[in-house]
Amino acid sequence: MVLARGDSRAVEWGARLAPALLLGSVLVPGSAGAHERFIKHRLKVPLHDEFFLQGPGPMGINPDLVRIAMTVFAILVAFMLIWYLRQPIDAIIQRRIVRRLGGTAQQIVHQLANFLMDKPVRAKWFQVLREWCVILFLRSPGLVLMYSATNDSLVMPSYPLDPASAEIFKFVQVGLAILILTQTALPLCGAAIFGTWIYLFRWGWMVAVDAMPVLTVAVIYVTSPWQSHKLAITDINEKQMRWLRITLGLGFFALGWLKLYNHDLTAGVADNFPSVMNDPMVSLLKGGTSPALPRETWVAAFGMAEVMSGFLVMVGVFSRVWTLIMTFVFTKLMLVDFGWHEIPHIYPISAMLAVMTSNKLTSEFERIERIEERLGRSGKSFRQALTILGASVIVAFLVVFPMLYAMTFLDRSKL
Amino acid sequence: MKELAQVPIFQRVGAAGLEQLGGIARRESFKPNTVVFFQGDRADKLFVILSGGAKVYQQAGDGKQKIIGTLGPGEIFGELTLLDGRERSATVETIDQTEMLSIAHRDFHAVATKNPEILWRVLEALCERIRGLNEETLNLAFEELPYRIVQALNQLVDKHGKPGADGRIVVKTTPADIGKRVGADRQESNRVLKMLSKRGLVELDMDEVVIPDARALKRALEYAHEWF
Repeated sequence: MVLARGDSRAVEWGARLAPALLLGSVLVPGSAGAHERFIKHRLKVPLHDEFFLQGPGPMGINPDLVRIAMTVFAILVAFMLIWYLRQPIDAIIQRRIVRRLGGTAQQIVHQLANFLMDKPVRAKWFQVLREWCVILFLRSPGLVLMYSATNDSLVMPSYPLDPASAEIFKFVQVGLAILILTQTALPLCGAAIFGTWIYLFRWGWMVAVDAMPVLTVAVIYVTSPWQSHKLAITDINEKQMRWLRITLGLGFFALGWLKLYNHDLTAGVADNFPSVMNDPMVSLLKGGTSPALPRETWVAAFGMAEVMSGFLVMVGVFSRVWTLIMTFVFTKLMLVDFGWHEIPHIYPISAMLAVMTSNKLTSEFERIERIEERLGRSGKSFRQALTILGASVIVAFLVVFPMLYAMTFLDRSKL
Repeated sequence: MKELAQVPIFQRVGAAGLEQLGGIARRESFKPNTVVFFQGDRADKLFVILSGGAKVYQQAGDGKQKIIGTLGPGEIFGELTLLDGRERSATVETIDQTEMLSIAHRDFHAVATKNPEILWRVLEALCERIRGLNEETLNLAFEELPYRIVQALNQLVDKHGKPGADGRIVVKTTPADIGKRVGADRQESNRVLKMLSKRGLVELDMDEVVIPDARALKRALEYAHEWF
C-alpha cells in the first residue's frame, strides 16, 4: 500500500506518540501521592488573601499588584522595542565604537553582541560548550530518574511513590534512565515522558503544570531518530530548538501564573526558605510597593518575573539573555536556597543551557520584523516606528493584564 | 567625483550621474585588520574600494574561516544584498589601511534606476565572482592541495602583487590565510608552502609572502599536479 506523504507522516507520529497515551492510561490506576516532603511549604503566617482578589484599586486590582504588573509591562515593552531595534543599534555601535577598535577587540565585541542578540556565535569554544550542553541536556533526565528511584519518588522528589507499587515504578524509572543515559530508543523515551506527564493530571492540573518543563526534553526525544544509540547527538536542529524554546518558555509562563494563583504554596516555600526572597529581579519588580505586605508583593513579583521571562523565552526575544538569567536563578535555588534536595533542578538548568548555547535560535516575531524591515527599506520611517511601538505595547498588554484581571476573580478557598 | 570616475563600474556614467553619486557616496577609512561588516549582519549599503585591500571570508559554526576572495582598488562589494535584500553572506576584513566609498542601498537604487549602465557593471562584478567560485569548486573537487596553493598564490600576485625595488613581488597575506583560501588546515598548507619555499618559488614572512620570480610561479602550475 502506498501512503500519501501526509499519511505516512501521521503514521510515523502515531508510532512515536502512541506509547505516551498507552503509558499514561496504564499508569492512571497506579498510585503516587504529591505531598510536602523535601521542600517544606507550610505557611508560617497566613497571607492576606484579599491582596490577590477583587477589592479597592483600578479595575478592582490591588494597587501594589497593578504597580508590579506595570513594571513587568514596561520591561516587556522595553525588551520588545530593543529586540526590533537591535540591528540598527548594533550597526551604530559597530560604526561608532567597535570599528575603531579593529582586530581582536572588534571580534570579541562582535561575538558578545551576537550572543546577546541570539545570532550565531561562530567560535570553536562556543561550539565545544554547545556540544557539552546538548550532551548534558539529553542525559540529565536519566540522572534525575535515578535520583528519584533511590528516593522512592516519581520523576520529581515532590511526588513520592506508594509503598505498595514503589518497587515496580522504581525499576521502570531505572529502566528508562538506562535508555536515556545510553541514548537508546529516544522516541520511546520521549513518549514515556509525555505519558508520565499525562498521568500527572491524575493529581490535578497544577501538578501537570508544575512538571511542564520536563516536556522540553521529551520534544527532542520524540523527534530524534530511532537509531539514536548509534549516533552522537551533539546538536539540536532549528525546528527542535524552536519547540524546545516554546515548551520551556510556556512551562515557566504557566508556572508564573500558577504561583500567583496558588500563592499560599509559593509564600509557604519562602516562609521555610527565606533566602529565596533575595533575588535581584524580584526586588526590582517589587520596587515601590507597600512595605506593609512584603510576602504578598514578593509572591506577586516572583510569579510575574516567571511570567515575563517565560514569555520572552517562549516567543524568542533575547532568549539567551533570559535563559542566562534563569540559569543563575535556578543554580542559586539549587546550590544556595534549597540545597541537595533540589538537585533535580539540574534538568531545567541543562535545558536553559541548551537554549543559551544554541546557534539556531529563532523568534516568533520574525513576521513583524519582516514588515518593519520592509517599511524601513521603503523609507516609511514613521509607519515603521508605529509598527514597532504598536506591536510591543499590544503584546505586552495582552501578556500581563487580562490574565491578572481574571485571576482576581478566582476562588482559592478549595486549594 | 574624480575618484568616482576612476572606479570601473562608474566609468560609463555621465557627468550628471557622477555628480549624483558624489552626493550620496560617503568616504570611509579603515585601519588594517578591521572588519567592515560581519557575516549575518543586516545589510544597508555597498562599498567601493578606493585604495588598500580586503579579504572576504565565511565562517563555519566552529569559527573556521574560508577565504572566498580578496578585493583591491576599484572593486565593489556588498552588492549581493542590494539584489536579494538578505543579510550579509560573508565577512569583509581589511588587509591594510583601506579607503572606501559607501553608498546606501536606497540611494544607489535611485541612481542606478536612472543610469542602468551601473547595474550592468554590478552584474559583471557578480558574474566574475560566480565564475571564480565555480572554478574553485572544480579545483576543490579535482585538484590536489599543492596545485590549489600555487594557483591561489598566482591569483594573489595578479591581483594584489606589488613589485619591490629588486623586482620581487610582495603579497600582503599570511600562510594561515593562504590555507583558509584553499580549504586546507594550517598544518597541511604550511607543509606545501615550505616545499615551495625550498624550491625557491616563495619566501615566507609573518604577514607577507614574497615571490622572487612571478613567471616561475606561473610555470609551476604546469607541474604542481605531480607534487603529492
